[in-house]
Amino acid sequence: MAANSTFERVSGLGWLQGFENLLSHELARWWKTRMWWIQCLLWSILTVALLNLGGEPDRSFAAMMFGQLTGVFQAVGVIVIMQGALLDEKIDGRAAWILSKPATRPAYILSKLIAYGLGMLVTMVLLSGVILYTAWLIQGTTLPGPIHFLKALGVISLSHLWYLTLTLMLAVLFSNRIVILGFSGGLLALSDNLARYTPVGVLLPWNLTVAGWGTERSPLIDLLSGQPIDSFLPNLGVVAAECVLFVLIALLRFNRQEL
Amino acid sequence: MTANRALTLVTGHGWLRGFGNLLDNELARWWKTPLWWIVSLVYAALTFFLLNTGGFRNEGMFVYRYKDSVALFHTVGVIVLMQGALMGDKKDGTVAWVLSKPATRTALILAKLIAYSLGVLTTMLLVSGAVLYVEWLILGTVPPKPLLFLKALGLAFLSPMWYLTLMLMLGALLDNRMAILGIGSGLLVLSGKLLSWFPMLRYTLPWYLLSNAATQDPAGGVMMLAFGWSIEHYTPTLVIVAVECFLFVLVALWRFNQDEF
Repeated sequence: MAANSTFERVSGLGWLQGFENLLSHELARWWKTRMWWIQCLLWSILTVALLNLGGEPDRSFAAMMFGQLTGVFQAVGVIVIMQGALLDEKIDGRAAWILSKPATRPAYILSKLIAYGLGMLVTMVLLSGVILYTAWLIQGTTLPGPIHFLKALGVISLSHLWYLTLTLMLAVLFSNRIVILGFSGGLLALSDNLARYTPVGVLLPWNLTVAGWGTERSPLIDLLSGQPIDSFLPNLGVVAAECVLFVLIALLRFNRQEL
Repeated sequence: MTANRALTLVTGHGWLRGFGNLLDNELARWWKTPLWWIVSLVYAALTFFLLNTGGFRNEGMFVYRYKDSVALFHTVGVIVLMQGALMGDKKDGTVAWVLSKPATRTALILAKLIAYSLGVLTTMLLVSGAVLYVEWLILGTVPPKPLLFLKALGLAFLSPMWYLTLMLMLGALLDNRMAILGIGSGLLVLSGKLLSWFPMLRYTLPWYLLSNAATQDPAGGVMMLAFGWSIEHYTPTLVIVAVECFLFVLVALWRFNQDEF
């Protein structure tokens, strides 16, 4: 029985104890506040405006700008949203309070990862994708196959996941917001310069969405044009592996941290 | 006599009461912590990297890269540093505590404005400028006259200053860090697009002061002053951006004076 009758007792065990409760709480931040519709509104307006969907149909321009929208503008959005996701709770003591309840640290980190990942997937990636697809449908331009289009959205999700997991890891490693924002924002701003060097470029998600120097190609643009993306597989693989690595580091470090 | 012997009594009056003390405190955040040398080091390394990775090395490319890339990083740095300058103190109660002492709200805002401006000017702009100048010397070209170069840097400072005052104003107006960061960084990444959609905004945003847009005269922005180019065409933008900075500070002061902590 719960000590406080207004609380609902949730049983659970193992390393994910408390996960469901924490996930509900994190999801509520997105879907039971104004956050979801503000994000939806913002990205809808930006998608229509940046891709010039109301003007003359220009598919290659729209595909290139879709890369800019997702690789630059939405990446900034991911960093802005994630910079405080963990740090605020570490600073104001909420993290310590939550962890004084029967909830494990991996559950705490993973609930944030899933809730924020889902929030961004829906309000940024899916929404922008649906708007673009609908506009192309209305304009009567040749559409990429649905599988190609879904793969393109998958590429964007991977790029966003990289910034999400990086910022989450940085928030675990540091308690200084300037350092967290400096690293993640600095990396994003430097990406254009760094990504043109092959060994470094493979490590960054920049080339997945934004058109490469002089090539005007990226997996996202190629998929939207119905082309294969075999040559980009190393970049995709490395970025995916980095996401896993960032989460593992975050979990490992957070488990040892004194809050 | 002060109630606490460890405290130093500082007399003052009027709307700037406590300004000296508050300025000392804000300056100490920059110059008595590792912040100054970390920021200086980061911007020295960044400038060196950016100047030398733009392709071929010559004086024209250095100026191009300086305006194109280094200036962008000054703005990113200003946004990162300023997002918490007022907001952090508001959230953790430092502002309320400081204002319970004999210090005015105006003094607090102006102390932050001056200390952060000085920090940004020195550790970002002057450090980057020094690296650029040394690169010119190493390259063996005739560098611009130091005074003219400093004058150009001073005008270029208006761009980060615009973002600095904007972020300060947003910190006074809003209590949501995500909104402050979103507006500041959103304006930075959207500036180029905004100007293509609404060309009449060209005088109101600092974007063209340092951009390499071909439509500029001279192409390359106010830094061309260092080489003796006339920057007459930039006068309206310079004046309007300076007025906006002033306006942002006034709005910050007005709002902060009405806020409850």
